[in-house]
Amino acid sequence: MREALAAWLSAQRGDDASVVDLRRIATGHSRAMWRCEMSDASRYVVRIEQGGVFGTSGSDEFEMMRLAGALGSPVATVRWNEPTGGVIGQPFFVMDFVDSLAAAREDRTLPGPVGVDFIRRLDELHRLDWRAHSEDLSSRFLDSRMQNTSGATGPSATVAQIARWAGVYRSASDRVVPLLEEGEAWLRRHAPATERVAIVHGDPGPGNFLHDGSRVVALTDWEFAHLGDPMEDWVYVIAMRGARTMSIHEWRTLIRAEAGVEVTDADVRYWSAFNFFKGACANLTCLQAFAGPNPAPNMAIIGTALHQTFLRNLALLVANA
Amino acid sequence: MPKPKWPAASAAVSVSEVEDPEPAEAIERVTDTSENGEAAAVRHPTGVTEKTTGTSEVTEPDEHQPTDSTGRTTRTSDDGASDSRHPTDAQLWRSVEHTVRTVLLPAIDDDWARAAAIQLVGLARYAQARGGGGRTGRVGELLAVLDLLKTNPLVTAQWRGEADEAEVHRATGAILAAAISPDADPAAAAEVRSLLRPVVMRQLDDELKVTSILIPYFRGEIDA
Repeated sequence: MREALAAWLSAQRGDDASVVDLRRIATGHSRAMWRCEMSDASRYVVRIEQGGVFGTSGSDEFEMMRLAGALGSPVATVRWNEPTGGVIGQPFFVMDFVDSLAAAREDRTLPGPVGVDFIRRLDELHRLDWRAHSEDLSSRFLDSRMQNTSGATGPSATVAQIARWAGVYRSASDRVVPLLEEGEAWLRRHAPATERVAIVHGDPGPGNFLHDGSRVVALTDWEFAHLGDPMEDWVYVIAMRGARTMSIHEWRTLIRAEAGVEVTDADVRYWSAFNFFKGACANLTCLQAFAGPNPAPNMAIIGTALHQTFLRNLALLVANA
Repeated sequence: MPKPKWPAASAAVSVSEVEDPEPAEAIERVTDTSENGEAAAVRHPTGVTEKTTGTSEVTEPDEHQPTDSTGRTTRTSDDGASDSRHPTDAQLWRSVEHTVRTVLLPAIDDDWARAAAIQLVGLARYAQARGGGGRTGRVGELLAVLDLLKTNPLVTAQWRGEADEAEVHRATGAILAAAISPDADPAAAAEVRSLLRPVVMRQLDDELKVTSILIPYFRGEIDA
């Protein structure tokens, strides 16, 4: 891989700088992350797809990061995209390496000032005026029904996401998963009106941003980003990625104080179900990858135990609704 | 991986009430040289094994069990060995686990490689623990409930009595989804929720009991 990547990087940069260090960063499952240092001291992260894991596209992620960065969100600068898989066997893109004090992925501790800044940065992301770039985004991220209604209000943005993830599950599984069918029906029936269609990160929270001890320097892991209802992100932070960091009450208080967003019990219930549905659908792609191009053990674990855990949580929320 | 030569499920059976609607010629005789010395057992296409002692039990077709060119089972013991000259599947997995845990892991410094090695130990443990998986029994159990609900309008709209695994799952999913609809007859929906859904949930829990042993290894906890 090193030789092919080095030649490709040289072509993109238009110079003859060489790769002096290339090592895998021990984080993440949907993408392989390699830290790459060049002979001129430039440092990059090479983010490589892993055989269709989670049904997400590196090219979409690249475009969303590019746009979010252009609009002022803290994002690592994306450099070059290789969508074909023809260089190293899988599609990948390259972004700048960002120096930070971020803890390990499983360390969900959050210093107070960083927590405040994270909420502010996520809120800013939700308020970015993406419509100025809607031509760039629409073909990739907007469902046709949303375009017809100008993406204004109503449940269409959420319904489009439900359909997206149901499609991912059905394309990854050769058999019906009854509780996913039930979950999809429940989510469609109870989809709330979207007050404001925004750029949604899709996987925000501790472990998915870099900080310098007081400020967020980059939101990371954009593969789930899309246009949708920002409440998806807030509840994801509260109930999933940030659940081990502080209580629901503490998160709600922080979000209310810093973003002016009220997260109701009904929001937590609906969007928790949505996020478990999303996870259960996405995780099935790992079994498909495990049987095909990516027989790594984490793929089998995500596709079985994690999928079933998400499915069970979804089913319990549906039953208790 | 060789596929079992019998269908995953082809009869409306429950785990407590075994029926065999298949024609007699479809029944195959499987020589059993398992550790308890039982000489023979009759395996039905449904995965039901009737021992020659006259007792019956539902068993899971072993997807790891190889067949010869005629589809006949060539390996017969429960732990995956045909005879004493070959290690069993369980022994092979134990060797993988032991070697990764005691030989390879102590020599690995790279973080990502260590994470993968720990997860591999988890996979080896899972492979030893999961057994046959009980797919046939689970499908039979769902079939029994669908049959019990065959006059429920939500069930009759989705299920025509088909017994193959894919169709049972499709029908079960469609019925559970239909019970969510605001247009569904409330009594019919309640019946689905009280009789069919708990079986689906319990089967998920049964699967999780086995797969959840993987979680600590996913988190990097080697001594779980």
